[in-house]
Amino acid sequence: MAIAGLLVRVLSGQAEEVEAAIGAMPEMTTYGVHHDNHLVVVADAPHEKMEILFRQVRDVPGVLTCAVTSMTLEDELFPE
Amino acid sequence: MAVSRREFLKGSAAAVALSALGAPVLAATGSAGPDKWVKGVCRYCGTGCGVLIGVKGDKAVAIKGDPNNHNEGKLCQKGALLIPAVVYAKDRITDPMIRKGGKKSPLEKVSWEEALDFAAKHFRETIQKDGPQAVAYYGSGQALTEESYLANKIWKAGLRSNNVDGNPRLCMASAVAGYLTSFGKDEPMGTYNDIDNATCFFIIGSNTSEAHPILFDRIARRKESSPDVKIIVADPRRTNTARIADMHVPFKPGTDLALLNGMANVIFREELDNTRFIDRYTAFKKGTGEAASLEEYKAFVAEYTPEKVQEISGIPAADVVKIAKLFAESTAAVSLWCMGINQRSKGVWANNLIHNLHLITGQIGRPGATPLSLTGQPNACGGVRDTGCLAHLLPAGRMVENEQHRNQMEDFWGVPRGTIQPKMGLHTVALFENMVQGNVKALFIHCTNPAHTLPHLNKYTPALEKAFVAQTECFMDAETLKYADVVFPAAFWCETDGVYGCTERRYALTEQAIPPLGNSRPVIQVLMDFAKRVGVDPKLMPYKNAADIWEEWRKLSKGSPYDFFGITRNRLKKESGIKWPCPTEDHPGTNLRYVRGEDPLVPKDHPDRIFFYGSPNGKATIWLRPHQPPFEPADAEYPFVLTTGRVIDQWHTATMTGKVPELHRAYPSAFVEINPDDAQKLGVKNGDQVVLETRRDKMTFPARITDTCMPGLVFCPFFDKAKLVNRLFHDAVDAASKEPEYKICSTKVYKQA
Ligand code: SF4
Repeated sequence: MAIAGLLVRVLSGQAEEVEAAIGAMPEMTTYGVHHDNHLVVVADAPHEKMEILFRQVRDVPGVLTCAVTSMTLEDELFPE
Repeated sequence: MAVSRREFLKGSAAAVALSALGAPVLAATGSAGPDKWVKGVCRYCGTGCGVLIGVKGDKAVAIKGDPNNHNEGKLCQKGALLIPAVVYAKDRITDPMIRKGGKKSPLEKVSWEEALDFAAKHFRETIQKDGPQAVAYYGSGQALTEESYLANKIWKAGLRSNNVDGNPRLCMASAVAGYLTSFGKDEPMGTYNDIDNATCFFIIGSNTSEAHPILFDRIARRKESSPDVKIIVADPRRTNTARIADMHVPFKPGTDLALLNGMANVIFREELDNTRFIDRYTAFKKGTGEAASLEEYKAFVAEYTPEKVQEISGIPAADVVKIAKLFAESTAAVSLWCMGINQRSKGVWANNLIHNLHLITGQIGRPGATPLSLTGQPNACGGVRDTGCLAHLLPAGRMVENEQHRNQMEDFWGVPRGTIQPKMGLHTVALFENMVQGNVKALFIHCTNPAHTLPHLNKYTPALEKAFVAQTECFMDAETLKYADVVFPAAFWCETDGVYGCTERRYALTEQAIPPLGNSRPVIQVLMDFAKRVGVDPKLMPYKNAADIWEEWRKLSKGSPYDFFGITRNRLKKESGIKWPCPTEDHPGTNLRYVRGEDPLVPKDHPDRIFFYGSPNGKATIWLRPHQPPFEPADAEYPFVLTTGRVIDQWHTATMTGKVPELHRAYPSAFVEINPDDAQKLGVKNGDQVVLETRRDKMTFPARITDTCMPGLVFCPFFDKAKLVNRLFHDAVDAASKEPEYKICSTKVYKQA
């Protein structure tokens, strides 16, 4: 499994709806709304699935940009 | 409470994301995480985001944005997915290969010795028989700076051939010529910092959202920071970038020169020009190079009334006025453009006309006020433009056809005067034309894929069938490999070390993080081993490693308008990129080029605040350039305009992004976008197979019906090697920059029978 940290910029006033929509995705954990319009999100999924998840996040109404801040594959290459 | 390793990793990922918002990061504790983080630069676009590569043992296991680089810890999905899918791709080339029985025979694995000898023999014999002009180097804006510097030196001073060109000719040569003709020297005066201070963004011919996502994020941040910030997106397609625009202005493809002159006209008519700035810092020129006056310029642009611009471009006259006023009345305006402006038969003129708008309004040389051309590749600026790795250039802004410049380089490189040929070499299209004609017989290709990217491919593919081709490559699916006689497996990205220079004059180092895969080798080693076998004097290449080459290049820059003498390898290891000019080791780098007190190359006691020192009179040039239609506009027989570009998930020819199954799944193959009105008239539905027929060829694509394209325009992405859309394109080039007009050709569009 890979783990990616995301910083999602949302249109103003839509942070709560976007957080709910992303939080409902099974591979995603949200870590709150910051600075009014940023969501911190962590994706936990096989790396092959990551881009699909990024795309799903980008496609959530109200999402303006989705930046990836980290991606670790260590557990895939060196499982516990 | 015990925290599982997985929870720890997730918590760390959240903390890193939070830190990109400026929150302090708590030091991670515990055993999870890579052994070390190695600093580098993203391998993809010219945004040049800083990365940190996580290494465990000798494997790259993680990647994160460098919080100390301009991207402040953020990456787009392409950058984030470099590891492992690209680095550890199954089709990585790990052994040298040759075709022993000519082009039709298979590539066979051989030793390095055999491959190098095989390639060198062909080059040596070609030079002996047909002279040095019969061999050429075709490089890349993705090659490391040290590689391009070395290849340029080997060819021009070692082999005595100026046939050195590369794919930057196809993407940014018009931006180079635009800066040169308007300001006297290449490379922008502004940086990304200007984005944070601008109150107006004029984005033209750039889909920033998909081509430069992290810059788009920064623009979005600026827009959010203040309701006063206005964004104008002028583009025939309503791309994702337009989502944050206050005004999206579609126009008939190829009519933007009329728009730009029309904006200048409105600026004078509304008395929004900055007369003091114009008087002090600019001079006017006609297209002939003859001097002109302000009054002549005003009379020239006066012809471009808003109504006339409407007639030519389809932009409502009122919108022309509105855009011009938003631009000129703003406290600080940034213009951003990319291939939509550069890849045009009048690309240099279009660049000049954007610069004109900044010069007549004084929207330049202040924080937030600048023209800034965006770069497609990660090292076209630093690696190719600055090192002079093109047919007409020598390092640091010197020109091949200038005797003094040649002599300077000959003295510096320690070769006899007269070694460098006085005539410029062949630019890309001419080079491949000469290969077709049999005048150029051997080509060394590094880090690029011309069989996919050249215009009018049907015309130029025979060049690769005819000539002997030696190629460095990392991936087996590059289209050009079909024509390679020798393949040298290149160490990829974080398997070697070298410098990239991005859009904003920032040089940053990627350090070696992991060993080269299999038998692949760093390209500087390949180039030197090859050159010595061809007969180049080893004294020309006294380098043990890339750092030695950097050291020579750094010293060469000293005292030039590209002075980065202060950017030592040690500094590059410690800092996350430094913007030149940077003449001394204690200089922090330059944000506002040409500005007294900011740019160290402007004397502190210079009487003027701005000094365009690259230009002989110290002034920038405002050019009188008329609107001219594209080379092949739509007509009665071929009534649609075809344009091409990127999609967010694929990069260039997809030899890297195609490895990432997820990126590839998003856009597995090329398609054609058609406006709903056109689709209805043509009887085309989503997914129907549609034929695009141009004067060169015809091809079939599945249709995507979308109002992204304005009526009369169709769009195809160019990444798909199964659908080489460049087969449809003509090979017209800009007369000055020799950059092809990839953005516009006429086509028939019909549903496949
Ligand atoms: S914006 Fe460009 S440089 Fe930055 S991470 Fe994405 S592809 Fe890489």
